[in-house]
Amino acid sequence: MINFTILENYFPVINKDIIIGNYTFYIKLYQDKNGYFSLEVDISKKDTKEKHRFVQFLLGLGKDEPNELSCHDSEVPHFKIDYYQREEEAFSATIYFTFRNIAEEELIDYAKGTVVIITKMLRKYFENEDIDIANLSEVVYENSVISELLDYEEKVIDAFYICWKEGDLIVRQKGKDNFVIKTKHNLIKYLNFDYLKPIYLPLKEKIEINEKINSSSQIM
Amino acid sequence: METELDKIQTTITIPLGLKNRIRKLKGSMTYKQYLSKLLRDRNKLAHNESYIEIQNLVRKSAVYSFGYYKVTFTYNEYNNSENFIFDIDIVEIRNKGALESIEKFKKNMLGSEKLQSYQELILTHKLYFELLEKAIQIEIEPLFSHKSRMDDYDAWKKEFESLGLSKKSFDFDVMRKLRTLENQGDAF
Repeated sequence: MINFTILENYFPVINKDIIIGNYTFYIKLYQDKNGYFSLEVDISKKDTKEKHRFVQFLLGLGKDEPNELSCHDSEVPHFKIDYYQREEEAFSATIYFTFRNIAEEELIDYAKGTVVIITKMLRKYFENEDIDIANLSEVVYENSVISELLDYEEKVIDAFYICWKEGDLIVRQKGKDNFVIKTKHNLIKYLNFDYLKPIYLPLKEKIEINEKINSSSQIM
Repeated sequence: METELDKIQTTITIPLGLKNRIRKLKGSMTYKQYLSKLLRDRNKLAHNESYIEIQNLVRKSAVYSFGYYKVTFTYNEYNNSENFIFDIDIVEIRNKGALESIEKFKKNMLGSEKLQSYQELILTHKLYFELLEKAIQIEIEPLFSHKSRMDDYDAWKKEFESLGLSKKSFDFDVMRKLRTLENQGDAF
């Protein structure tokens, strides 16, 4: 069985809250004896000025126990991004990529790529929220991740691209009909928000490169 | 496809409250037709590949009473999405009708002796889980009560599963709070 826990080397603290000002960071790295695992970052922010405002952002790779209540095959490896915001009303957005055709032995490479995406996303988050970047090393060892794991990022981006191209990326909105994203325009509409840039930009680039390749091959 | 088993009638034991709610929802359909429809709907959603789900969740208010206390709290109105979470938040605490800060509430509940911070944490987390129980009673099952210790996550997990609540709700509404307690953080 693949050992995901070796990825602990890239995080100072795992499975414990890291509190920096109004922000709580949590790196979940877990694997059970049946091979189910989870690697994710969970960030939450309590706004002290507006007492009831709360924001949570979660992102990561996992393979869960089968769950009959789930609307998807939770035991298939998946990459999930969750954004939740509570003000007067609450809003949530979930993006769920299912990696159906991944060989078991390849999963460790995807997990390494996920560590890179988590690191880039954390840096972006620190910058956007004006958190002292010196504190980033309390959550992730950025230099080690970038120097040792950067090459694996592309594998995960490739997998997102395959999900987008070959699968059905379905948008579910309460009270509206589901629809399938098949155009770049809709991809931009749903994925282009600030914290998702480390995922969205390389994916968009991959789509554009492939579009160019396809159109030039059609001309020939 | 119909099998021989489909021709044999049987009974399912369910609480009366749940049966009444199904009766209200099924309209003119028979129970058999309605349950078959639920299965079809579920299968339509099941095993979809990748998805994006966007939801605007309605915040609802409720009051939880004990002794002279009234605690007004908010939570998300239940919907059957697997991305649903309750997200309990306290709006105000009143003691005999007068507004009281959470700090004063802790002091009053623990007595005038020197406060021990861990006791404070237990107190606010206990209140949090009582509010979660109340929200579940309002939204899902009026007879629900948590059958074990507050920090018995295994019992919570089984209860969430039997209520049909999602893993995400369990992670957010239960595990996250138990993690806060373990890390000696405040519940609210």
